[in-house]
Amino acid sequence: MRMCIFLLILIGFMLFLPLIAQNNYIIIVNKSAQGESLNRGNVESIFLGKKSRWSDGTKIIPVNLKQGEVHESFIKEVVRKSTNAYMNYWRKMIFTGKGVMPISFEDEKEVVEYINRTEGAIGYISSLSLLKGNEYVKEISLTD
Amino acid sequence: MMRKQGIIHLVAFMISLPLLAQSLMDRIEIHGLISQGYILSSDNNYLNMKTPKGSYEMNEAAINFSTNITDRLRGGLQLLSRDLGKVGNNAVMLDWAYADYRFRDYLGFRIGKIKTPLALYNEIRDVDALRTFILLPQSVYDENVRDFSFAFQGIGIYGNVPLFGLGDVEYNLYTGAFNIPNPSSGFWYDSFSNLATGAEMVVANDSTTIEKLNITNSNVTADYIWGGSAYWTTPLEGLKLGGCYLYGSLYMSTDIAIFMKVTSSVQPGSNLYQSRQPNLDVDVKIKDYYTLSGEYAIQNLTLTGEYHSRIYRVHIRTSDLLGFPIDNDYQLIGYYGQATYRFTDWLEAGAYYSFYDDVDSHLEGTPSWYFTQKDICAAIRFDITPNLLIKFEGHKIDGVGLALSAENPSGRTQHWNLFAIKSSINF
Repeated sequence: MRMCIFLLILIGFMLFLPLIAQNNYIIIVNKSAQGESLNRGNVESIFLGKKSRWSDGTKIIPVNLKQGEVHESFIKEVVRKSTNAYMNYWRKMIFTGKGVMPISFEDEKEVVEYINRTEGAIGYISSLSLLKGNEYVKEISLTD
Repeated sequence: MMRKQGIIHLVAFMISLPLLAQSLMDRIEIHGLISQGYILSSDNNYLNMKTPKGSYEMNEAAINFSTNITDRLRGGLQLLSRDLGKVGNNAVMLDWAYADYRFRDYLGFRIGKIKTPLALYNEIRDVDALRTFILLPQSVYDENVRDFSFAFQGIGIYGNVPLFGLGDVEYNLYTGAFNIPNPSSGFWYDSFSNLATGAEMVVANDSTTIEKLNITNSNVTADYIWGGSAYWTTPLEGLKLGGCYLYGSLYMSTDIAIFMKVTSSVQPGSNLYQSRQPNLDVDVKIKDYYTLSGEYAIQNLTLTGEYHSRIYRVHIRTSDLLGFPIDNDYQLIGYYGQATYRFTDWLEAGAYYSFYDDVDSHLEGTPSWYFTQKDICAAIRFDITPNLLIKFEGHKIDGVGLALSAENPSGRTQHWNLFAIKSSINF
């Protein structure tokens, strides 16, 4: 009996362990969107293509990393999907003609440089130090 | 002087052509897929294939092109070649081609040939890479009726509406027409055969024996279709609920030649040979076609369940034969529950239980398993690379409700098994 309870607790802990926030990403936007107020749901909608415009009507350009821990954490915690499910979501959009995969880069530096030169762009990286020299990129904090 | 300027302009244009082409190519997204499968059953020809002998006639290939024409306007098309037994035969067809104007996130418009938004997986039923299983649960995703459920030509309105803390709703409304690419095979052939069997039952009596039955000049014309869907992404993480509805109309006609031997009551022991050649006209309304869906994804586990019902309202007229016209409603229902789990980036497994019942076709004296089909399926999927996968799948099936009688003239077996393997690439 004690062993059963122990195993149940252990399984429950293992299932929920990944849910403990790791939050190793920061969200960045092009300066044109700096004044926007965003919550997690807004960002989720952006990266699923459901929200396509900023409040001033500018087109939102979501930017992904192709892989890595920062990408996995962001997709899991903000978009609330596994990376496989996220990939499949966009493949469905592609093969039904409803959308195209957001632009993605291997390197965080490329993400920053792209957002720096692209009005309406939003993405995620691991460290603010990468923003050095890119004056049109700002961190944005999520509201509750 | 004018001629010189014209030549300069022409040369400038020709020099710029590669640049224009490159610019256009840079803006056009191109994607595609190729998949090939093998299917084997212990009994019963299935899905238009002689599956007891094994069949490789299960493949798809597609390529699509899409681009943003303006900030709010997209355009694209997908060409599809598929084969499933006698259906498709790898003829290249236009799978979808439409213009999409997104006025606002909550309101957009599509015109052209559009995949019909039915249930959770109808729009992607040909994209093997987007699911764990080779065969979708046939109780809801019946391949036999694919012709009027996979795409339509017309207009659609769509959008995503946030519910201010209660998630969001994605909706679609549409109307148009649909094509019947294969009016003489599969489901339609089975339907005409059933009509002929009905006519046979009308003329046959104690003194009449049917010697031969011919079906000729079969034709199916699709009329119109309209419908809608709504799916609620709930505030509970991973839970999606929704449903869809469709209404359609089509027309079938066929000539039947019935050759009979009639025992003479005047001269016992002698026979007369007669023939009757009625033409049957059938108006079919696909009414109350709906599916209710629920999906719950937590971590790497996804649980899905769907319930489907549809009614065919059939009105049969004939130039001959007593007992006609006939007006009847035929209801079919189906449902399934499935679970899939992704163990690693390269390994996923799943199982489902599916139930189908051709409710209004049950005949007294005929076992019910002729009209029902219970299917237990287990599958495993290996993603060898992000673009290449292979799947293995087994089915334990009770009943032949979806194994067409016209495909099994020698009879059908109640308990049977099916195995399938399929590999796909996508880019």
